[in-house]
Amino acid sequence: MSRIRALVARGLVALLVPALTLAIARHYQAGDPAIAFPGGQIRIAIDASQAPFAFIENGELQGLEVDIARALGREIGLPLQLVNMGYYELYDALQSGQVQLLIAALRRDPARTDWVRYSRGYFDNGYRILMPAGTMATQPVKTELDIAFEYASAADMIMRSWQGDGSPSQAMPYELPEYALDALRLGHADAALVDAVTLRSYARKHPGWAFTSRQVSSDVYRVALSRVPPDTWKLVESALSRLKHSGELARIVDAWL
Amino acid sequence: MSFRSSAMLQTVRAWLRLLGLVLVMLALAAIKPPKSSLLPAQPHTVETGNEQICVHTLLENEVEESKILRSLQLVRELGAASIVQFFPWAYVEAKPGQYNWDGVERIVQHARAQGLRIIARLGLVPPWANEGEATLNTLPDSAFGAFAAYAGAFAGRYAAVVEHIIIWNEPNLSFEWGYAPVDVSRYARLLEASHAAIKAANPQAQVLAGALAPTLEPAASASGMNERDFLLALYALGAAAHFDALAVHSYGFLVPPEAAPGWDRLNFRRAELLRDIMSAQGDEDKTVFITEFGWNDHSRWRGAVRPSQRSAYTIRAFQYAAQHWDWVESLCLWALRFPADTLNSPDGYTLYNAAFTPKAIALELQAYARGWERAERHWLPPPRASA
Repeated sequence: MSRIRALVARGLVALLVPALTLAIARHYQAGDPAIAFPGGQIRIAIDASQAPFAFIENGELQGLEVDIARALGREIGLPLQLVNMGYYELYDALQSGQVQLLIAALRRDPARTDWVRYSRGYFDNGYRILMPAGTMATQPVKTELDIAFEYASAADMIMRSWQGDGSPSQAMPYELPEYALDALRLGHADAALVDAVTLRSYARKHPGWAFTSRQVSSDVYRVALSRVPPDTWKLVESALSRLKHSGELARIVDAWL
Repeated sequence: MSFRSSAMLQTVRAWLRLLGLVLVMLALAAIKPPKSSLLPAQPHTVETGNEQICVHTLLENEVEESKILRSLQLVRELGAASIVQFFPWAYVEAKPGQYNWDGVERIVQHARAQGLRIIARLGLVPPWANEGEATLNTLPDSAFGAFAAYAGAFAGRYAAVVEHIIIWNEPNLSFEWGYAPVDVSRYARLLEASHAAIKAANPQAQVLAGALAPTLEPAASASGMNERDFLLALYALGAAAHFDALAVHSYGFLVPPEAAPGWDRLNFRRAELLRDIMSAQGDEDKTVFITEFGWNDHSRWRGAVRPSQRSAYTIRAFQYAAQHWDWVESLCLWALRFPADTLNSPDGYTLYNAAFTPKAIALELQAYARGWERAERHWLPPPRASA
């Protein structure tokens, strides 16, 4: 009898120790909400001056980043407090602890990474070169193309940089980025150079238009948070990962762009 | 030679060696540090078709001297005759009474070498002077004298090269007072103390009041006070005796430069309303320096216009001022370049990115300022479907 008891006890220990170890490891890996958000809620700063990412309509905060904030809250399992502020206040609010997360079209800023940690990206607004479906060259920049883009925009700088590097392509500047896409769609240009937001909203208005595109620069938006405590980053990072793999992140982006 | 005289000779030689070494060290110590090797042998001159063109630089946080040089070369090459440059008090007088001018010196030397007029803006409170407040814009009354002393020391040291000094920045915004309520009488007292110190050090120096920020905030607002109320109150306090010119910020926001001004709206020509107040107060002999203006062309920010609009509006603003504003000495575009890009909406105000790559507006401004041939249109007409 005592031998059976000993065997059962050993068996229980053999089961419980790894389970407990795994639970502790997972807990450590995922981060502790009580440490990350000691007030029992997640305080997030939003800059409601950049539609469709965040804006105010009928007195309510709305936009892609507002929905991402809400989805993060659901994933982490805590209520949210959203605070609207301008760009110059964002990092001060984070540093002073007024908020714990910044979701405001922020790029990784190397000058701040000693105390700020950035999450994986939730949107990439990089520039893309577009051509009619099935015509994308292996190295489009090195072929002689008439490329349409918005005058004086970042695309203009990219175009001048290509030409400075010896690209034989010809510049076709337009007053608005939508005109550059019109030029491509209507056959006035061989290619167009626009950012992801412009492309998505234009493609939505022209659902039958067939094109192929290739990314030429990246401009990744990330959640910014303090390095301390590390639990905050773990929780946000794993929540964003789950949102990505479940398709929820793509659904939010598609809903707004 | 006896042993004794030989030993004496050795001792004398040793002393002579030591004396020689001391003399060499003294000679080395007496040599003044050489001027920067980056300074040109002869100062440049600015070639421009419009002397009002001015650019706001941000060189106070630039670590590398070569970047200061390049920035100021670009200003000259643009055809801008002047710069507005911030010289933070906190950087110069980190310890009370001990001025370290190194950072100021290299900016001033390079600006002079490029033939640029410097409009200096003074502000930013050292921690020792602001009674431990968290913000470096907090200036207690007890520190007014120390700030004025810094302004006087600056004016005296750079008497031959800097003749325009702005006292503080946007004093009609609470942010610029460490989020304290705007108090016109406090600014009037700061202006009076600074004016006295500057004039004592350099009677030729021009003291600029302001620079007033464009805002619609009513007098009771916690954020700030509109420029009209602020300037009227400043005159009512008798501050006219303590400034030689008015500095104004006159951003264009979302409308063209020609848009009519009004106290109920923010636009480029709002500066005309302040000029009207000066005239009504009998101060029309004083000039105005627009020390910040411009449009933003960030692709998503709600305060931005399209890049094509920004470029066109900016040139038209310079043309408008040249034609209509003879009371404006300088029209200073915010901003040449940031030492590091913000990677957000503020970058929409710059002419060059941090890597010194020019934006199209910089090329356009240069062509205008230098009188080069300019295309009538920089973009193609909207494409139309073939019939």
